Amino acid sequence: MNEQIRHGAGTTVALFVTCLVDLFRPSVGFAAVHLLERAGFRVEVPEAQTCCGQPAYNSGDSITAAGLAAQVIRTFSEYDYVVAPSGSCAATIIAHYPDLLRHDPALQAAARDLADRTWELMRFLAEVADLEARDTTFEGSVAYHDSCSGLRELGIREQPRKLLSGVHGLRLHEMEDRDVCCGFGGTFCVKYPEISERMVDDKLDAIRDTGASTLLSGDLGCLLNMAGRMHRRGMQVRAYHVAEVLAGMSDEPAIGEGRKR
Amino acid sequence: MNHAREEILRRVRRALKRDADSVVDPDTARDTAYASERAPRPTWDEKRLQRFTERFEAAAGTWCRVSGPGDISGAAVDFLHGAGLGQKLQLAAHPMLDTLRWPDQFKVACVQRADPGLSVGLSIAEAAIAETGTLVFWSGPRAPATLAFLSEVHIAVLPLEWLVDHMEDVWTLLRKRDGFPPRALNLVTGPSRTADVEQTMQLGAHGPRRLHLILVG
Amino acid sequence: MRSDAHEFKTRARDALRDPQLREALGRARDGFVGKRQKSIDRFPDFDALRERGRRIKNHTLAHLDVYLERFERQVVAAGGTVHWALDEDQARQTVVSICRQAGACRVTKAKTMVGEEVGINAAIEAAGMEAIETDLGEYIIQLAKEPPSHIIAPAVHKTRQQISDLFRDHHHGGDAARALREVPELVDEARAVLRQKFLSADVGITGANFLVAETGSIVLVTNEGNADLTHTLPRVHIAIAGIEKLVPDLDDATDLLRLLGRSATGQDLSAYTTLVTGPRRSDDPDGPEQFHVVLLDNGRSRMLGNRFRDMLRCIRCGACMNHCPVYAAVGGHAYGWVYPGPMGSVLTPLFVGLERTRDLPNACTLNGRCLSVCPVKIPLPDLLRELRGEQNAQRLTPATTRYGLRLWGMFARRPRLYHGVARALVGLLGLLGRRRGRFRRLPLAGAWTSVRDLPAPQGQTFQSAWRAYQRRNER
Repeated sequence: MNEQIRHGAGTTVALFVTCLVDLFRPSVGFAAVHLLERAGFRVEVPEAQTCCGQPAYNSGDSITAAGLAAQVIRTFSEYDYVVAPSGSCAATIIAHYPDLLRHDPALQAAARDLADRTWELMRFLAEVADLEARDTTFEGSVAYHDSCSGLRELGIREQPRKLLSGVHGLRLHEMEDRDVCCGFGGTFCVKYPEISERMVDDKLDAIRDTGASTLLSGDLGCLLNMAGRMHRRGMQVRAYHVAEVLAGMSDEPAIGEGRKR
Repeated sequence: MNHAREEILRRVRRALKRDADSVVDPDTARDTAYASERAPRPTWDEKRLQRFTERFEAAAGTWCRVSGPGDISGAAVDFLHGAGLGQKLQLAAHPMLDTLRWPDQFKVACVQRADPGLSVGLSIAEAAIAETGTLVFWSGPRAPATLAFLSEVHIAVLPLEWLVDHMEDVWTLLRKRDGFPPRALNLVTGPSRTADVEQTMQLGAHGPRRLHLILVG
Repeated sequence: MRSDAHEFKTRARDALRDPQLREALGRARDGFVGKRQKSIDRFPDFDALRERGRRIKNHTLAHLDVYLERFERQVVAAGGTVHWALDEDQARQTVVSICRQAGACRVTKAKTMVGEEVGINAAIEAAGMEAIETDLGEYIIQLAKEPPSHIIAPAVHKTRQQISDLFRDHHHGGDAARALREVPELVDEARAVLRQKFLSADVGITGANFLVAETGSIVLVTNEGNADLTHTLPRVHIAIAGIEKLVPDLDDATDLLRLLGRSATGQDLSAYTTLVTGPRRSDDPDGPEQFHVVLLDNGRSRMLGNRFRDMLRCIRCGACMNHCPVYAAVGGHAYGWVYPGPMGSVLTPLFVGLERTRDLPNACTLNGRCLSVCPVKIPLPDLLRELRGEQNAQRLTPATTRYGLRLWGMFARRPRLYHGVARALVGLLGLLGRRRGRFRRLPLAGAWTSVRDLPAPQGQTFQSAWRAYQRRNER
């Protein structure tokens, strides 16, 4: 029984797409579906989902955030597993919903229940699905950026590295100060663009120093920020969500790259 | 300011949702909260003395070892000679130092308050901590605090049997003594230092530039 | 002290353009982070010690009234005097009146952040006395007439050249003949100048790293030894401390000292850790005739009763700012008051008021590195978010943000509408950005594109692409 659950065996997983993936990079969502299906899970994408509410929560608007949290809780109430290709959104559900909804005991209990069933994608693949990426190839050197929420709120650090170590041809180069924020911070990067610029530039210098030709991360927010700044600086490093590389979907144009005709 | 006292205590109690007559037993609560468990502490494999000297050196202290109190002056003379630090010395008025014999050419003064013009002071530590390489000085007539802080060079003497493992052991040892705590209990780990200019470590900020220890026993 | 926290944005901008500051901050960050890591790597279970620290402070705060009274009794028993100050004004008045009664002309000071908080120096000087900082870093910024930019290393923003220039201007009547380039020369010169001040001071003022209820002692931690000269040489010693500095006993202080040294400077223990209890005893050859402790509330009792109690655990080690990428970018002065970095971004609004500190809780990415190094596990990101909530509730957040969020929230709670509009918008942007793959400029995204390109959406939302994919599979 245990073995069956570990390897999917038709268990249904609900994908929490995240608003950024939905809007900017659906290929990340397909990569997540692909990986989950490869591990033997059946994937559903509830249509009633939009956003986890983090922008409102982090801006101090807990009423709006609580409304969205309640919607997420309702939408995903029937699933054994809820998986999100983002440490930041998963951490909002896992680490913050229960506190956000503390004024409503029934909702708070439901939030705790959802938190117990919710997983960040890399962690789910490494710890529950027991996935190995042995039949995937990626020729090149990569740097991996740990998103802060995933790293510190969910303890995601070794899981993506373990998964990447199975990819043929992929060489991982660790960067200096790898536990330091890239300067995204949601609305922070538009409220304080100049401070964000210094932070992302420090991060890009660390990426450059690894000599890697590709940047990977588990959070699209960080990636949009870093890729956008790399393009502005004319840096020749391509950026992908880690799920895209693991799913063998790196033939897609990288983040911020145009489509060839 | 009496009003302020009552007002602050009233505000604190209100914040803690208590009134002045509430029966509170912080000591039992403290045991339950954490004190009944042993606190995590540094541990080491080497002998106590070795740990101490290793940490003491890491804090930029220098040391030598003699077999008995009679050898303190010889060790101090050797140190001063070797370091080219002259022949003047001020001593704390400690019985252990009373009977020491010094070479004739040495000017040795027994002082109650260090003369800031003189550069070398010698005093006795009351205890030492292996964990951190720390010397403990008990301010008082036998160990003027000024000796340990105004001297350019501070020579300390420590009978080996006063070396303990952890700082808690110092409290256990000294709590039993009359007059504890003294006005100042100085825990000294190496000479004075600063990194306030460009994060560069520089010894001798305000206190001694050098700390030399004579271990006895 | 007056707060300039409302100028955060302009000060941050100036700081970002200051190459000397950048050099100084870079050096400091690398030094502090590396040293701390090395020292905790040698400690068997540092996280367990952090948990211990958290519990010690939580317990003490939960019984603060009892420990305050216990501390007071012990201070009095040791021959000292305890003064209570509700606010900055009372603290200043108390200190000045003690100095006056002592007939003081010259007051030496060892670094005290609470002293900065209440603006002690200005009060002493206004009363016609001289106040001299003796911590080298504090002394440097006193000469520069600047506030500290870091709670452990107040002059961390100054380069050697700037310090050299300051010393040339202020020492020996501005005589410029000496070299004064290397660090030892600078430290030696300050030592010689300050030694004379120490020996001629009438009153010495220190802060307190901890107040020990068991013995009525204050614990003072320095590396320079300046606090010891400050409390030993003058006739009167005044220690000023916030009421949250209490710990039950010496063993508790020991645990917290183990946390403090490692978190602040990567030292197992600072060079000088001193337990000061009362004034000079009858047979003491040195020490002050009077020992005063000023206990300051200044808003702390209010924090004790609200969601910000956790902040009172702070032991002022500076690890949060040493690990904060925003602090590393803008430096301490941008924060505009006594306490910079993450701990300052929580404390300043609570002390100075939300209105004049609007940027502080927001100028943070909530990346949580500060929490991960905090020796007493203060949930700084949560507290900052909590302050954002207060700002929002008091309508201090810009109206566009508030209404924008609410509107977006209403929209996001109508999935069908949301997906329809998203599909249209993403389709348009995908088409516009198809060839280049990114936008250099885009209406309404000016803040984003001011520093970086905006990667273009791929052209379909995941939701619509997924539905289409499923329909294809069903056929």
